[in-house]
Amino acid sequence: MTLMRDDHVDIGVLVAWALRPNQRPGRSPEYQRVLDRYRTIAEFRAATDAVLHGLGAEVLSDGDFGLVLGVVPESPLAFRVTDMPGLYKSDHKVIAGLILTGLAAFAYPSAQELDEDRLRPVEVAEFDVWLRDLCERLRSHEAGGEVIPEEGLDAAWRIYLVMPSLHLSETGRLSNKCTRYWIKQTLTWLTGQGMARPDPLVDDRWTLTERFRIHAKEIALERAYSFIAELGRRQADAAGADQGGQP
Amino acid sequence: MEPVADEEDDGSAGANSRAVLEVLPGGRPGGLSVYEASFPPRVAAFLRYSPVIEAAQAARRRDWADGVYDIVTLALTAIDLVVSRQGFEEEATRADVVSALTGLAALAAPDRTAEEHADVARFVIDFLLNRQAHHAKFQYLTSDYSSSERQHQRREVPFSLLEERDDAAREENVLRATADAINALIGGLNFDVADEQVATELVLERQLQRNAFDSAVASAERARLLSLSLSDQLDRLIKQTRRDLRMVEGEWASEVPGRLDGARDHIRERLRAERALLGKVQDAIASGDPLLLAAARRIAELLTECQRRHEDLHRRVIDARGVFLEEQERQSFRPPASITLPDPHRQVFLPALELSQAHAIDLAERFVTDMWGPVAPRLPRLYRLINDLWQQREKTAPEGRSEEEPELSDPPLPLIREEFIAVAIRAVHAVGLPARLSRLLAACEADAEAGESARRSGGEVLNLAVLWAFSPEEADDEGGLIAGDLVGRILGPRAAVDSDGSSLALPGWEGDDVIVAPDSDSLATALPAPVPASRTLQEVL
Repeated sequence: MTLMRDDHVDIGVLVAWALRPNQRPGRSPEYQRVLDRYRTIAEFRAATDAVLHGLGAEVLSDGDFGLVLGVVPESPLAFRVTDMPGLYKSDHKVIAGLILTGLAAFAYPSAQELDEDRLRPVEVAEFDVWLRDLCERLRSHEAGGEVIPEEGLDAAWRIYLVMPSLHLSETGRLSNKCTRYWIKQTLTWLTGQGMARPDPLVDDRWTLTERFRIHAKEIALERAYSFIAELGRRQADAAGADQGGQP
Repeated sequence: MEPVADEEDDGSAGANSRAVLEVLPGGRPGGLSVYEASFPPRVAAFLRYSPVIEAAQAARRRDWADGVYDIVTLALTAIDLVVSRQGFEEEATRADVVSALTGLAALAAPDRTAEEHADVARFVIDFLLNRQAHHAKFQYLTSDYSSSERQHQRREVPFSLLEERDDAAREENVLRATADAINALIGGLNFDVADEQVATELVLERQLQRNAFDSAVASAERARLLSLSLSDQLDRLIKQTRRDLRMVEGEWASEVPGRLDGARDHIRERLRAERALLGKVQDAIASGDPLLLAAARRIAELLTECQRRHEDLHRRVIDARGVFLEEQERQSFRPPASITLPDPHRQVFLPALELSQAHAIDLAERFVTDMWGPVAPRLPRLYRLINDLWQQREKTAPEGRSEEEPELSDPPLPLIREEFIAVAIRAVHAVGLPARLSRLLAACEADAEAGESARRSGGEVLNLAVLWAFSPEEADDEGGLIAGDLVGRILGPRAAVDSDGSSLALPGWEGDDVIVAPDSDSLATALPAPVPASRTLQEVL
């Protein structure tokens, strides 16, 4: 099949839908139509994939929840941690990153769980306690006191522990000086991306949606694991070189 | 027959077990049914009730009216409610179930508070979802003596009763009863649904013949659950096929074609039987016997629901083969999925906690980008940008105060007057593009149709439009449509702007004297002349 002008228009329509994460084909016949074309016409799918490749994006899923895309960091469509409002300090970036990674681990504690599509609930206070407990376990309890690392060399867990769970502003709201504020912020951001949904019956409780699972499973955890493994390899090499260099 | 076991004689566990086998009565190999292969599934089936019983026990520790709320009844009502809407468009949500159970709790204890009634309802549904374990499966350990060696083995029995799912067509979560919950309600073990349904309908037919309508209601309920179970089996297969065909390829090659043929025959037969039964029930309704009327209506309702389910199932059975072929073609060129996924907790999160600050920031940046997916670049809303620039900066609120203030009012109205925009448009028309910003600003200053203030403001609007086209920034309007529209009106829909490093030499202005072109192609070759610094505006124009 040779693609005609209308097919290229449909590719644009499909990509436009895919860039709106809260839209679902079940709610829009037009989205469903172009998604069906993607699923069933090989040439249409190949051309769409090629356009997306040019944009630095790839299809992670084309199921009932629409065309879910992942991006490479160089893509003009990539979202960056600095795009998050209010993330000016490096400590805040570390905390936001830990919370997001932690949400994936909290919701899917094992690799097998990533294959199950039931929804996972997250309560702000409960998640905070869970994360804080993990950080606490990493703290050494030496009789002589803890060694305070140099500036910039502090471990991520310590940055989380240093920030209190709860800090209220003068008006009685959560301030950005506490971890629960950042957990709520992260879940609110995820809600905007169609990856979390607030519980209508209980305050401060969210469920992580199928889109969150797809992103975590299909792209984010694998790349995070590769990054950590590469770091570990480099540190091991450096340690080996140091030892080899010693007389 | 001698009494059990002779522990003192040899003392070993193996010898004891053999002794038990030899001496116990029962006429079956091993003497006890616990040695049969069917025993562990029976234990597992029995355990499906455990969470409900545990919920009833936990409820006693709550600060509620003593013994008033029947948690078991409420739990089964919840499962029933979910089952009754499962597979249809409007599946039950958590809020639906809580609302129904709250009503029942209020009937049971009318003198207690509404909060307590709602609390009881939430408690029941949270227990069924295994809220305490983050909706994970219930896990029970059992003993299995059925191996051929007659050894004791530990078995783990994981199951869920209700699950919360993301509904692809709705912006809310829905509840689904699992096959385990349905089986628990039917009270059976793993069985062939088709055979079981034939048996149920034969029973139902006989009950209707002898007007045993109370029993017939129970049989009709059972028939509905069986239909649901059949549907659930097919749903699982289709979903798995769509997700990764390789996981079920063997199943498709061996069992599925036969199962689909069987299901088609079964559905055809069931639809015929259900129509016949429905006819009989409607006769009972027509007879007008008030004792039979309510039960007959309920049976008619259930049979109609079964019919709908079977018709729906029929459509899916017909489509199933198409799904397989479609997925086979679609997935044939898909790169193989990663064989092993990393363990999110052990291999990703725990090492992430121990990273240094600098590495943790690197990881955060990668993870955020990967999790977020694509975000369409957003352009500024021009009128807001101008308002912001013109606005006197307010005193900063104390930290944390404005962070969560919701925007309750409408956004401010645009403040750019049409006459200012008209000055900018006329300047672009008068000079023509491509042109340098200096010439366009000079044209604004020279606009004979506008007053002095409008000329100056028109120049500022034009300058901001050019700056925006040069470097669009984050905007908070709907995809930058308003800003894009305004800039499109002034500079044209495909305007492109670039700088070659020349400075703006007009009095009262500073910055780069950028080149404004009607499109990016003409920008590549354009080199328009700037306004010379030594000449006045009037001389230029």
